[in-house]
Amino acid sequence: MEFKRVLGRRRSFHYFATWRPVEREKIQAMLEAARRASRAVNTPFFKAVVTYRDRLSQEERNQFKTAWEPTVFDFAPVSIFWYHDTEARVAYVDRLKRPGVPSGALQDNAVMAPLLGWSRRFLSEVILPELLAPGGRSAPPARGGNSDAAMAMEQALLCAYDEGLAATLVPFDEDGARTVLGVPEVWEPLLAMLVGYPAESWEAGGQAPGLPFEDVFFAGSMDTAFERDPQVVARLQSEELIQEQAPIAWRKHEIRGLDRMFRLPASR
Amino acid sequence: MSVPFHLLDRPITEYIGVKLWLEEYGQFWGIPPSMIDQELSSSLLILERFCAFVGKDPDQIAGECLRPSKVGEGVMLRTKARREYIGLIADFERKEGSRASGSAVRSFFIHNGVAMTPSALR
Amino acid sequence: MEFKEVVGWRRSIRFFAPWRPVEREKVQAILEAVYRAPKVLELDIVRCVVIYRDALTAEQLESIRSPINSAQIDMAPVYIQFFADLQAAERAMDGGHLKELIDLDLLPASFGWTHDYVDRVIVPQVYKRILTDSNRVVVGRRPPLLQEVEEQAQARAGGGRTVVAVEAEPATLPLSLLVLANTAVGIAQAHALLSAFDEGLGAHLCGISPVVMKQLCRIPDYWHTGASTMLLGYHAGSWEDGGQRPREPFEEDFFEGRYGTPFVQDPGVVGRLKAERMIQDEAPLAWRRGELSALADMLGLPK
Ligand SMILES: Cc1cc2nc3c(=O)[nH]c(=O)nc-3n(C[C@H](O)[C@H](O)[C@H](O)COP(=O)(O)O)c2cc1C
Repeated sequence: MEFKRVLGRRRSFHYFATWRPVEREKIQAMLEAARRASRAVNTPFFKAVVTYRDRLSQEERNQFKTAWEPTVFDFAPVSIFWYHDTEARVAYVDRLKRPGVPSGALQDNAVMAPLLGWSRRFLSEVILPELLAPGGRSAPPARGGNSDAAMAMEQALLCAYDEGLAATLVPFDEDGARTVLGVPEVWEPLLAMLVGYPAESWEAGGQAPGLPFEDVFFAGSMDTAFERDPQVVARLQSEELIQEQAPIAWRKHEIRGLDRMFRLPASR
Repeated sequence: MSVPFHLLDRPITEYIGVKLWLEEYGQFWGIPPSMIDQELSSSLLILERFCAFVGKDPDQIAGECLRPSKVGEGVMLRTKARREYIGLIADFERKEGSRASGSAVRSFFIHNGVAMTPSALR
Repeated sequence: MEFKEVVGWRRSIRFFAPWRPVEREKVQAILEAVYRAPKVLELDIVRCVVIYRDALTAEQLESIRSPINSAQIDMAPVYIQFFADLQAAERAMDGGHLKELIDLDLLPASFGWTHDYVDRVIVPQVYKRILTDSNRVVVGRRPPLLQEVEEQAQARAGGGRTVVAVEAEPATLPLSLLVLANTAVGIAQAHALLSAFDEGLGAHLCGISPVVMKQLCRIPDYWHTGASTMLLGYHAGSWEDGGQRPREPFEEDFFEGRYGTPFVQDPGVVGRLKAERMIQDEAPLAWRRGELSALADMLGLPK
């Protein structure tokens, strides 16, 4: 699918087709997309565990749930649990000797080069001890989230849409998930990605509103808003990055129909 | 220009930093050791002129820019010395009237672990 | 471009044509893609500042140089800096935005979403907990090299003129808030990087001192930024740029069912993704060194 259309299609889906399994190959494609994301010093700070709703008991699924949209875990045929591996630097560089930047692998493969001021000696003797471990190499792994792991996760999410699937991000219960999935303590939870074929329309109520563009984007400094050129907006509408905004006239009927279909209590 | 003899007390290729440069340069650019002196012959002359320009030998120069790391492993850039040399290389480049001269000297620093680059030409 | 091809062509481009500006329209298209990124917990956290290299003074440009980035800074005509507005959660405490989404039928009642649920559960149990997380972490700790570079930039500025004032960042933040901020920024960066390639541009994330960037963009203390800035420009070399970068074995990254059971990579799928150009030839390409040598000559860079 065209890139812009993929981005335009993405929104938070709730109603997944519970009866339709997701092909394993599509899940793999998503994971492959995650692996291709940019990553500091070429180190995978992300980790993910793929689970299938039908192979988990209701009790196990309940352990994932938080106050935020607990029901979705019962709908999506696949839930992928994304983590930030706080030990990635140490494991990747010291133990596994993987092709990270400090190992010189990118230099040896002529991705990085003396043209940019780098050499093997700089990477292995200056950068490795310096940048790789602020506070010293023995510093304990630090929690606090990781934008690289989130970047990988988002590439997988977008790939789901390219594969004709819908995917939604929700928080999950750390301790419950650790019990069910057995992940190491040094993995810090990011978000759960619920994946499946949507039972609702691709509109899913329309694109959500947010802050005004000019409150989010700036030129030069925070004092100057990046002015939104309507011609560019029009181009992006034709490329389907920008789609119909909520509210969509028939959405209430759609929700009523979906609730009937899934026998959900309509509480309004 | 010839280098004052008291400055370099042996052929320039016998300095540790120069050996490292030739080795790393050859490794990166795929030049066999037997051909590296020839490949870099003009660069070696330029480095000699730079040594004369700053009045120091290659190992003194590299040594001024790096020191053992505080945390025990690896080396650290002496950022101040590095910055001074960045300025000196720019002066040298202006004096020689050639980016190629500056690039040769920078290559020596870079392969010794002292990262630096000039502004890209526009 | 097809989505998978965009993912496949994205790689960290570090050589830009320094003489070729980026059309404003393409910059906006990238920002619009960021604008459409998912919002974690429906919070509007991310902010971006677009910086044009040629609008910077020589002193400002000098202040963002460091041993790890200097040539790229000169080559890329545009930088995009990402920030996380740490007050976003505080501002959402009235539940107003969630209620708006409920009223727009984007958050369905049958999934628990009501105004009452927002007031009774989400605000106190989710948003408030983020803000009051007693688990606090130190932010703004930088490796010694970067710190030294910042200090020198400050010293050079000297004479009372503040090109760069090295201010202490807030010493600690609630852990949950920092996780949220980093997650939101990462998601936005994925959209931005990929969009650049879709727009026919090259890009990469580059470590630039966050302290310097905050100063340069004149942003308030409650905007947090990590150490990476997106550099943007037209490729100076080929789109291959030496080939895709190596990765660890697939099975180290992903697990199926439970940790310990690797998600085994099916070569058939890899074959399909190759055909779709998401997986491309890996570095080193045979002609890469020839290309680098030519780029060095063209751009006056050292070999
Ligand atoms: C947060 C972050 C910071 C980065 N900083 C730099 C940097 O300072 N210099 C650089 O050349 N590359 C930097 N990179 C790019 C990575 O080195 C690159 O993504 C990694 O080697 C994988 O290669 P690829 O992006 O080409 O697939 C950074 C990437 C990330 C995610």
